[in-house]
Amino acid sequence: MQDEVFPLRFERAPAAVLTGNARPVLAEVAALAERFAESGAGGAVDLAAMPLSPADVDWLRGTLGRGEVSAVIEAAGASSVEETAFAGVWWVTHRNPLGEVVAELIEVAAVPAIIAAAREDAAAGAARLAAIVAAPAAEALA
Amino acid sequence: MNPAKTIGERLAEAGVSRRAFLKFCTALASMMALPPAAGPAMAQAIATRERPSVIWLPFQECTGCTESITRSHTPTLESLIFDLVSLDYQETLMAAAGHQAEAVLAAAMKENFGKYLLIVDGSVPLVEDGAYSCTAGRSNLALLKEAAQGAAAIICVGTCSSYGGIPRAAPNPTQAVPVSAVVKDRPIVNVPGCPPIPVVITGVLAHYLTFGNLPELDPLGRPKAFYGETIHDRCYRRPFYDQGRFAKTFDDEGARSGWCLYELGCKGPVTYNACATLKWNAGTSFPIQSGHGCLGCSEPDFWDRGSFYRPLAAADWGSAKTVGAAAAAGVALGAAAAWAARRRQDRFVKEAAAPADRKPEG
Ligand code: SF4
Repeated sequence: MQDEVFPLRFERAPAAVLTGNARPVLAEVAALAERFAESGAGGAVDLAAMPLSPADVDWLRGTLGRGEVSAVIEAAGASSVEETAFAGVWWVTHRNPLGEVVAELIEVAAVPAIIAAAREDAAAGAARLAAIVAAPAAEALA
Repeated sequence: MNPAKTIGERLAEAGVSRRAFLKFCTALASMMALPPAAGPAMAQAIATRERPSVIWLPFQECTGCTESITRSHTPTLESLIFDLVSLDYQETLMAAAGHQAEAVLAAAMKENFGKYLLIVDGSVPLVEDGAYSCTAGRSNLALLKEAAQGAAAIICVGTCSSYGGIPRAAPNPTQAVPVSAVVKDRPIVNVPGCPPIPVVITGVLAHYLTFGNLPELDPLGRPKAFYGETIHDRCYRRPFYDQGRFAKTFDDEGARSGWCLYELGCKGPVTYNACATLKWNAGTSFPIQSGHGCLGCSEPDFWDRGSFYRPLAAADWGSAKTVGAAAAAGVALGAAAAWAARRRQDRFVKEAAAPADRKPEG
């Protein structure tokens, strides 16, 4: 019934179209992977820097496939890190606490930067741990 | 308790982990079209910086700009960045009022003279010595002149402070002018929009926090990172434009099929803003996605540029008849867009490597 009142007939959603921009991105990832394999220097490609349609992103994701490691980091929203079928090439998605994607990158590295613990956080953690160790035994067990 | 001096200390106080902060900077770098390596670099740079004092003065305005930033969904990047700076004076948001508020303003200007960031929303009326808009008995004009003296830089939030906006619309009874017409000797960044996109406001702040200078500006004083492309450049209805398929009325077949709104008066082709990519209301939509053409609200004198519903004149922009050529070149468009994005990045790689003191152009 609703359709008769205001028939919306969207043609071929532009989102479903491959723009041709995904291949250059893949070439850039390939170049980074090669460099990383040779010298250990990685890098990243920001997927928002290219005008990619959802279809382009799906194509990239499908082409890169899935590898051995995946991790979720709960820091101001969930970030997911998934190794692709190509070791050292990671698909990194940052979400805010509402679950919206705030950044999406393909990172080429041994381990994506977001996973490593920072020295500043480690210092705060060490101090807290030391306080527990120093506390009287009964308290520590409680 | 001493207030946190550096942003890093402030983060620790607020219980924000470095991972969360790295993520925040990565997202900011992405939105500012910086290269991905800039995210970690920003996280490093910002954490060691002192929290800058920010003074926000509202002049002849509707408070829509403040609404834009405070009503943005929380918790967000926007709210985090405002937590990182020291927002010392903002009439609409601060708890203090009356003499107490004015004392805070005077103290902040004195203590941080030469260092504070001045944010202005609203235009400045000149008629009758500025009597049309006053705070605590002082005209906006007098206050702006005084506050500008100690400002490291001025950020004009909204089309009113950037270009005069609606108060300046014909016949402009108060003789409203933009900040740049009053202050000539301070770096000024214009962040136009009626209102501007919240993350664009915070993006400029983040750039200042990271590099200690202002972002690269276009001839109208706007940051190129956000105002470098037109709405039309990034519009998702562009394929229909390129095919010459236009809605002719708001309820015809074309409108229902999501065709291009050019003939219904869309000002997207001559409007430089990021609505088509960053969107509004937590990235939900933007005017064209809701079925209405772009009004061009971030451009100077948008209110007096003829009807919102009349198609752009050929003099302003190539006529719709020339569209066929664009359609023929449609295949090449994707590659060209990618090239433009790449070029933009290269520029910022250089900027990140050598953050020279930059004065705004124009
Ligand atoms: S004219 Fe307007 S609706 Fe049409 S493609 Fe350009 S920005 Fe989009």
